Amino acid sequence: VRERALTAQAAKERYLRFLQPPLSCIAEKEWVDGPPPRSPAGALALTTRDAPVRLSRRRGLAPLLLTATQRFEIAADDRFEGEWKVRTKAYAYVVSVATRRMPEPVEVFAWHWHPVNTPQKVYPHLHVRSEHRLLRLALKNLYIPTGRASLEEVVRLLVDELRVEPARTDWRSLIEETEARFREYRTWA
Amino acid sequence: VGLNSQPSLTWPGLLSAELTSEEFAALVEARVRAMFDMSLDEFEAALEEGRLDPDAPHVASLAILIGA
Repeated sequence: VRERALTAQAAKERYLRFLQPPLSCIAEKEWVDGPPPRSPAGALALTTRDAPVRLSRRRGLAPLLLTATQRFEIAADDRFEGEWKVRTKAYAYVVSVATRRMPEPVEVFAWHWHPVNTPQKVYPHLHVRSEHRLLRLALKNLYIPTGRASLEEVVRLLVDELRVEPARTDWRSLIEETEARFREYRTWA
Repeated sequence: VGLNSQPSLTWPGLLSAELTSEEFAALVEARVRAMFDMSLDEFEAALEEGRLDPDAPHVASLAILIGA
């Protein structure tokens, strides 16, 4: 059932409520939002209260660190008269690793979309912070095109591929539910 | 910190928190300081002048939060 947002505040609360489950699948952390200090009135940004978020992995594997940020605005929803929606303006989902010997977080994967900051690269992209000797290019500097990345996709990769311990046994069904909603109501992909 | 009054209806979990402009700026400035040992003004100037790559590790996340 579609949840209507008849005010800007209701749209924001709805957005954050559906963004909480994927985060809760991997860590007991909360989102915080507020106005970016260098943005015009009306802009908002969100991140986790603690950052980076430490993610435990299966025995013997160094924990990973997740930094998730978004910038967004709240606008009238053209599709539904009298309703409001959150419109994402930029995001960065970054997975880093740190070890006892290297305690400073080192980025591994970074899903970016920040068209305002990089007008020459306005598409969603992925940075793989690594090198490949045969490529003879700095792999870490490539803008590898992606579709619009969802937090759910990142969470699925973390658990299924990178062996992060889920914080909930029902994590997969939760992100399937919120991802389905994201796909149905997003205005671009 | 003003906590939203409406918790998740479907999933038990934490509430999100709506920070005031001062609280949010303090959070962002603390992260910039911790990562680059710069003030917000210094970070913004470094971005605008091209001394910081907007796609470099840690930069994009902070630039999004700053609104630079």
